[in-house]
Amino acid sequence: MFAGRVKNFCLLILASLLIIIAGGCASRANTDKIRLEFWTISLKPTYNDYMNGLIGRYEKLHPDVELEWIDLPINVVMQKLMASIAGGASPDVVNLNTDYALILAQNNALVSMDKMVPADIRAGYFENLWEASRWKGESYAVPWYVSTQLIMYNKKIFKEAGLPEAAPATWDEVVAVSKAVRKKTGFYGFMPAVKLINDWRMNGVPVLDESKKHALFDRPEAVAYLEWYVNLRKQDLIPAETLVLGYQGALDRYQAGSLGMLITGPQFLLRIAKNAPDVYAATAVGPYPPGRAGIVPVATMNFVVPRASKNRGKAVDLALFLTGDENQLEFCKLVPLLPSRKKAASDEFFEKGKGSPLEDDAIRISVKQLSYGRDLSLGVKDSNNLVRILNQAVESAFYGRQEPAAVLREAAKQWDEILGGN
Amino acid sequence: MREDSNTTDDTEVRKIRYAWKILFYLALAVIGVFALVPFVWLLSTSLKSAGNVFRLESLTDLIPKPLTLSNYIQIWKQIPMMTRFFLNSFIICFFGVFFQVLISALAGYPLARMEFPGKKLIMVTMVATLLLPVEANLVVNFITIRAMHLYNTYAAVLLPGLVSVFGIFLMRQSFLVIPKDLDDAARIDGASEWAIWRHVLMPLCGPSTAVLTIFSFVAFWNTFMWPLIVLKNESMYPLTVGLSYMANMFSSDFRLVAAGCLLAMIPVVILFLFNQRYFVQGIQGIGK
Repeated sequence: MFAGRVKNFCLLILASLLIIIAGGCASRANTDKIRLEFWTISLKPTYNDYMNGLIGRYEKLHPDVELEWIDLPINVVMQKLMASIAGGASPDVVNLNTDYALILAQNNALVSMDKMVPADIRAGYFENLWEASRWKGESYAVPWYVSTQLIMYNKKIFKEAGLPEAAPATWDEVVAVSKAVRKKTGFYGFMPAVKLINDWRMNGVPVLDESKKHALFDRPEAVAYLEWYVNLRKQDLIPAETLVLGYQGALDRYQAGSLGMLITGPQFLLRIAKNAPDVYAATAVGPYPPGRAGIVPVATMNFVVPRASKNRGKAVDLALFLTGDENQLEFCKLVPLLPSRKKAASDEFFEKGKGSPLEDDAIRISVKQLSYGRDLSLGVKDSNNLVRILNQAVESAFYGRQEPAAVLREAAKQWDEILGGN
Repeated sequence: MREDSNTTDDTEVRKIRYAWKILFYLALAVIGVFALVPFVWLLSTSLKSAGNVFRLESLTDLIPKPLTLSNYIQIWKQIPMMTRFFLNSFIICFFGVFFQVLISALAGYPLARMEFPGKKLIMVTMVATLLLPVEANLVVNFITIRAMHLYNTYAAVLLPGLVSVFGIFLMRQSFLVIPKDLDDAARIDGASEWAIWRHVLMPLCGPSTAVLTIFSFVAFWNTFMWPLIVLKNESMYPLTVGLSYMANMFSSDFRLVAAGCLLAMIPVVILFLFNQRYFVQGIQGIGK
């Protein structure tokens, strides 16, 4: 009797499972239109209106095309993309940061934008951004929205520390401010996201030789930048958990009102305004101090077209539409970001602002930095592996286990081994 | 005189024992507080309406002023599909847990009770699959799912998780500790292997089944990356994926995130409370 009931129950479950499977297979509407699938990173549902507006406009301009928009969190996008390409279900246009784009370009998975995009359209993008995704002489991504970093500082903490209400203009001043803040208030002045490659490239210290087969950072001028961080830690001017918590740790501390300065992009003002309105009210912004090479880092979001796309030409066209001047400008009015196209960036909006003083300041400063900004992604094969080796080296020096010069010598040796194989 | 010293000895011993007990409970209390603080912070954040959610200068900052449930309501306003996401997670968990427990129990039985050639090899092969990194499975599983025409179905989300090596070993282990005499007695009474499994062994494996139920429920409930890879329709996304909608690329309201996390925790907590008694026994049984 009981066994019978169990059997019935199992049958019921199996039947419902079949129904679920069948339900998922429900046939799609058959159309003669070309379907283009494009992916973005974490824009749903906040920017649905903006994106749906773009989709509507594109489909109107191209009645033969049907767009399918998929939005993914950043930590899934690469895995899904690689699985999709391998599984023969590649999307047509994908939103990726420069690091990811370079990894795929190095694996010959992307369409070359230098080949696909006519020179006159290419010229409309900032050259420094277009070149960020360059691998073996060709660019593989169409730059979309970008952001340059700023120094945000907490006026209340600066006042307590007896400092003038102004952001430090050089890195020496950043250290001096941090000393004052630490001494007078007990808070830390800043908490850097340690990226030695950026520091070197910003200051004109070569990371690799011309052939990109040898690491050059075992020289004293490169070691000095690691020593800078190690000394900051020794003097207790940056928190011990700097390396472990990274940028997120700095953001949390700043939002809690216990960090003097935050080095970040203007778009993070939105987050601070929501989660820490009192800190937002006390925040002011200043430019990011450039390195000796006169450049500042830029973070770029791009669109790429996988070689596995069945409609490469149409896909590139869509990428150009999505990053068009007007469409980018409209997006920048929603989020404090910068466009990758010169015409959009020269719009008076970036000078006038939208009536929110702090964000307007941030954007005004940020857009000026665009012309001397560089995406400092490394652009060699296995770059994530190389970065990991370097981070381990930084760690042993930071916690005083080994001397900076020794760890970098060892890391350079490991880099040479990996790069030599390229 | 001697009696006297005995009683003082006794009180001394008792005092020391009390002191230890107090210390022991104090230590437990400290561990308890440490474990609870993140949870309390989450709860307090989810009930706050204004002010800085990251500022924690004194314990009174934990008391939301004014207290509000608006964040919980706001979740549904911002993400109207939330109810659907909950339902999807329940569907995935229900089938996932049922089949995982069933398959583990059925596969564990011969490994514990029968002798056949290749048994060792099967066990070693199963353990070897644990060594494969998730990424290696991902692409193969994706290609398999597409070849089976299951892309964008609940079945695609479920299939790779249905067989759990951990589950099979857990069930095998719990069958092993049951005396074989019970099987033999049932066999003399004419019971089939199926009947022995169903009516003799399974009823004695309550604790292990409870442990496996909770573990697999939590695993299916928290599944995040795989559903995003094999699903296309938002209306089929599980809750974890839905929660990620509360933080976009540029901003996130931590109060909403906190409220969403707490809501997502409720089913797991309820399941644990119902299974708690068995769960502890089951966990103790694993080491046997």
